[in-house]
Formats: sequence, C-alpha cells, structure tokens
Amino acid sequence: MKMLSDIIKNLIRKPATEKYPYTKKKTPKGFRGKHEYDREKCIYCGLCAKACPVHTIGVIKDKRFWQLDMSRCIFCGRCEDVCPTKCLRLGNDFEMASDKKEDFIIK
Amino acid sequence: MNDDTCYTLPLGPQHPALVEPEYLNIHLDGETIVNVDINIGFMHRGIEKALQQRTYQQDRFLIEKICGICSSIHTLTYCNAVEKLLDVDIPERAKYIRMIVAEFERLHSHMLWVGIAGYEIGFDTVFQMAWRDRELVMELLEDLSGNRVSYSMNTIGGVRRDISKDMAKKIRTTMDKIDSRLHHYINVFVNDSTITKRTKGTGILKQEDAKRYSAIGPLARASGISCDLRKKAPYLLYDTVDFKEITHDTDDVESRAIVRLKELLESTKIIRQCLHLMQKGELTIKVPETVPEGETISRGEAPRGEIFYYVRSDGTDRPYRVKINTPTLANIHPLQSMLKGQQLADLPIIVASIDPCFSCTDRVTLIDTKTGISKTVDETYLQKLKR
Repeated sequence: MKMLSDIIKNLIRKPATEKYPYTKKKTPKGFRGKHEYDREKCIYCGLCAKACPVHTIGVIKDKRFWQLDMSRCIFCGRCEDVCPTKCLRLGNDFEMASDKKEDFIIK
Repeated sequence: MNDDTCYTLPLGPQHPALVEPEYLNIHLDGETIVNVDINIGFMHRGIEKALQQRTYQQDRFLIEKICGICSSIHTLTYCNAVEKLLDVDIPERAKYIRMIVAEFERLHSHMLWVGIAGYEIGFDTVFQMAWRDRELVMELLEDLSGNRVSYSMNTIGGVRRDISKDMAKKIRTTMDKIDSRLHHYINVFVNDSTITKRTKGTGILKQEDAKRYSAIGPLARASGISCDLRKKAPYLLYDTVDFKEITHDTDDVESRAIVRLKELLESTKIIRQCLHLMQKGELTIKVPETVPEGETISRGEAPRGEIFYYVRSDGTDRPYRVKINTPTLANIHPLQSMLKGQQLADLPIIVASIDPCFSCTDRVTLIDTKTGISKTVDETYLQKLKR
C-alpha cells in the first residue's frame, strides 16, 4: 500500500503526458531534425557524401548536383559536422511524414 | 526428462508475454516448471559483417543501433577500443562527459526495468509512475544530445557536444529530484506487500549457480557476486570518483530490484562528482582516418552487465573484424536454473528480472542455437506439435 499516496496525489495532478498535436513541444537546442540546405553556399566538395554512414547523399561536382534522400537518413548529423562551408544543417522540423516519395528528396 | 508426465508448452517466438522474439520450451508438471529449453537466434541482423564494410567513423552509428537502451555504452566501448589501437588519449573533459552520459543511460535503463517489473507482476501503477519519472532523465538526454534514443555523443577522439553551465545546473536539480523518487521506490519494493508477495523467494539464483552459468551484471550482483567493471577494471576516469559497488545476497527477484535501484543512487552520486571534477578544455582531439595494424579488446559496464568489444585492424580505414559480446547472452542461461520449480505464472517476472535484451543477444550464438534446436526438435516433439 506504499503507492497509495502516489495514487491519491495523481488524482489532482495534471497529466504527465503532452497533448500532441494540439500542443507542440519545443525541440531542444541541437535537435537533429529535417535538413536545411543552402545551395548558394555549397561548394560541392562531396565530404558529406563520403562521411554519410548510410550513403544517402549524392554529389556530382561537375554538374553542380547535390541530393539527399531523407527516407534513408538516420539523422546522425555527421554531414553537418564535416561540412566546410556550413551550408547543411539539421533543423528543428520533425514532422516529415508524407505519402509522396518526392517529398523525401532534398535538392 | 520424463515426457510421459510432463506437459510441454512452447512459448514464443512470437508471444504477447515477450516483447522480443524468443523461444522458450517449457516442460510443466501441472503448474510447476520442471525444465526450460532456451532457443535464441530469431533476431540475427548481420551487424558484425556490416561493420567490416564501413569506415571506423561510420561504424559508430551502426553500433549505436545494436541496442536502443544501451546505445551510449556500446559506442563508448567501441571508441575506447579504437582509441587504444590509435594510441591516443582523449581530453579529460570528454572522459567525464562520456561517464555522465553512460550513467544517464544506466538511470533510464534501470527505471525502465522498474516499470517493466511492476507491469509483469500486474501492478500497473508502478509501471506508469516509474516511466513518468524516467522522463526526467530522458529530457536531460534530449537537451544534452539532441535526441532521446540515439544520442550520438561519443566520437573517436572525444565527444561531440559540451555540457554548458546552465545544463550542469539543470542536471544537478534533476538528480536531486530523481534521488527522492528512488528512495521512494526502494521503500515500495522492500515494504509494499503487493510487490513483495510476488518478488520474495521467486526466481532464486544461488551464488554457486550464478558462477556456474557465468551470470554478470546486476543479476550476479543480486546473488552476492561482486563483478562491477567500474570497480574491477576501471575505464575512463571511474577510479577518480567515489562510489560503492552494490551487492545483495537474497538471490531472488526482490534482490535484483534492490541492487538496480541502489545502483542508481550511486549513479547520481557519480554524475554529481563528474560535474564537480570537470575542468574547462577541449572536447575532441584530431584522429587519423586510418588505424594502424593491430588488435585490441575493450570492456565496459552496461546497465545489464559487461559489454565486450574485440577490434582488429589491418591498417586500412575499415575494421578487419569487430566482435561484440553483450550481457544478455551471458544472463539468459541462468534462466534454466532460476525457472526450475517455479510456478508458470511467475515466468514473466523471472524472465524480466534478468532485464533481457534479445536483439543484442541474437547473433553470436548461432552455433549454440543449432545444437539447441537439434536437442529440442526431435521426432517426438514434432509429432506432438502435429497433434
């Protein structure tokens, strides 16, 4: 019966859970969410493609081509670590569900 | 085994009482368990082979995903091994941060276990409360690393993120909160009759049996064996902090709960000391991509017991061989001794009391599994299944 005090306290306590999606939780500093890519700053060096553990980034320097498939990404943030111009970072957006494949491709 | 009087109950691989696929073949005499055959090997993921095909730095992220709960200690032990091969010494601050994250992990893993123990004995209030209090640690981890499950904090040559002053203050206040909750749970597990009636005297694992089956971690410590690697073979800076190794000698499920809960009080103590001892400084040192030829081992104390890594390098940027040994593999065999003579209704809590993590377990015992199957699946057994 040692939990009885907890049970009574819980009757008047507000819920411990959050009512997502009605109240959205603020993401912590340094959260690893949807990628933010700045094409202007990118120098197409290909370091991110080399570093990626799941090989989801493709870079062709001559054609100035850069592409990332988010559906394969594990959000480790290693691409952000190695980027010399900081043109790629993991942002705060975590609602990435979609029924279209094209939505997962970042160019 | 006398098959005429025994009833055989196959449990698993898919069963509501088991979270992960595992196959227990239980021989019953009425409601009493006479013998248990344990078959593992339903979760083979080929990770060791995949590790050989990636670079050392990329391997970190795959190793992290071996286990969702102990993801930090896996990378910690792996990074320690690779750093040994590279012959580098990481900065002191990085070592302390690694220790803090490892202890956070122990906190949330054991709190999760307390909840599961409550759930398995049908006391859902404990389950809900323990998991609510576990959120305190999870939020700290989220703030610290940016993620709730795969923290990606350790890197070869240091850690990726720093602990700021505000963060340290927040950690200290949360640790006080957790301490008070832990004292409450210890009181509940020792004195609450609803719990003690199910946990006292169930799943007895005597000290000599624990030694015979090579049990490790909290399971062995609950049978009175001192086997904490943080004391026995200190890695990182565990020899500079002051903490006690918790052992208990009543050998039952209650003993395991007490060991786990008291261990957490030591963990909060370690975290406070780390925050105090931490000096300002570098987080990482630069390490080369290629690792010189050689082989090494590294050990670490995970929440569930000892984790072992063997890394062999052939002088390239990819490991030649990585061998991983996880605690549940050692702890699953004592189940045979623990379950004998127990009631069938106590099976879930006894299985849960070793804190099993089957996804880590299933891969190195492929040969064991084969012999296990040939022992269990004989003609008479198959005929029984047909009926």
